[in-house]
Amino acid sequence: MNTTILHSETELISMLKSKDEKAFNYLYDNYSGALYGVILKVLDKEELANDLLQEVFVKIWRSIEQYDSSKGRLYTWMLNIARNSAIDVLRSKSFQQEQKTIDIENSVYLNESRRNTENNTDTLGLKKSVMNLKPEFRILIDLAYFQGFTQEEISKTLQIPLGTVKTRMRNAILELKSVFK
Amino acid sequence: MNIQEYISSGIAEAYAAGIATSEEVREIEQMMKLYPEVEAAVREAEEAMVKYARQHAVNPPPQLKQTIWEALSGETNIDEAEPTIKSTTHISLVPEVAAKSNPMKYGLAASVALLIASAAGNVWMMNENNKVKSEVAAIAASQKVLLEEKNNALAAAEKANQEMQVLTLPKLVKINLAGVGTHTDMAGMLYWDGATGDVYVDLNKMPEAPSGKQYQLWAIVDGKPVDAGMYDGNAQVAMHKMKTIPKAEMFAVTIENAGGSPSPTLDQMVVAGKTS
Repeated sequence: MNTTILHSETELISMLKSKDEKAFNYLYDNYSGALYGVILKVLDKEELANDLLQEVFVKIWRSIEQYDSSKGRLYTWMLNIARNSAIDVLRSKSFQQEQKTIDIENSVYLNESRRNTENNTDTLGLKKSVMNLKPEFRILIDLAYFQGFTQEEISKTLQIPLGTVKTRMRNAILELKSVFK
Repeated sequence: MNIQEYISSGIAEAYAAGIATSEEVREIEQMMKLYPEVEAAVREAEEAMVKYARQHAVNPPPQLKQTIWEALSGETNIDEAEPTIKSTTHISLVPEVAAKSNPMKYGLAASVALLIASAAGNVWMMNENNKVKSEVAAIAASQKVLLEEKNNALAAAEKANQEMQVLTLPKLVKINLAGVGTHTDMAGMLYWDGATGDVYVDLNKMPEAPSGKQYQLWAIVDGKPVDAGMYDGNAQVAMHKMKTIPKAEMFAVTIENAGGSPSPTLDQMVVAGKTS
């Protein structure tokens, strides 16, 4: 993977608080791929994703003082910033308006063409573990995590009772865990 | 409520996947403080989500790093341009002057009623519109997943097909590669096409070669070892095509330095099998 020295999250946090270029390089080299991947998966538009990645780094940089390690891992915290920012854009009016002008066939085509390059260049890992997850579980997790659906929206779209959404999600994540073992 | 029941309700997973309602979020954050087991369940679920998200990692375009660093190092110049998007359709329906004459009053009342009706209509349309949009998003999301599934299934079928073709070759010889010496727990399969001399091995049940090492296949021809190729260890493929060996009395696998050796390291022989 990466040849730079692995810092623990605690070391990284104190490094980040110093706000120098070394800290940035480490942060960027180790986390930008994951953050960018989440943003891209939510928005599916490279240009927007590029802008948003910058915004996300600014947010991380600015609010690192507020990060509280007792409330979870730094990684989770950063991913949540990326995810929430991307979903805000996804749900924004201007984005939705823009979406209208793209016809659905076109967007499906774009999705597919990009997915192919991902397959070619990227991660055998994606195939091995995520692909072992049942499709109905993947759809559920993707709708929640990458589309920002609420329990109600999931219940309506997947046509499962509202009361079952949480138990279904639990099963999905339990399976996800076993896939990663 | 019993704390185990609370955990198994799926609340921790809902929280980690970002679908917990604000009420549930408040509740579980309290519970996490009170019960370490709730916190542990949340952390575990979060960890799984982190790994899932990681699977989708994509490297950003290379020039972006510099741009972002410039933005960060000039941080003080950036104003707080948080894009806040809130849809507020505010329609004032209060008439400013009280109507004097009756016809005017009715006319006003009627137009106010119409306005309310049309505003309500707009709200309804907007809701419908949003519903349709989220349905489209959901369909697009499931389609993406299904496409990936389909491509994988096709690739798997293709592989299986190729393997089937090998297995049905008329002159195919199947050779059990049995553990040698202390390696009694190891075993592999070798398929040898008597017509062409094509050799395929399946070593998927063998442990991965130690790091820096690789399995190398040898054919014993007239008592002498002949290199039959390196095993690349890709677990996605069951049958690995090796070098073509027209004639051999025996096949053997040794552990060699990655890249292979010109002659076998005999004490590193792990499995072997005779051709007849």
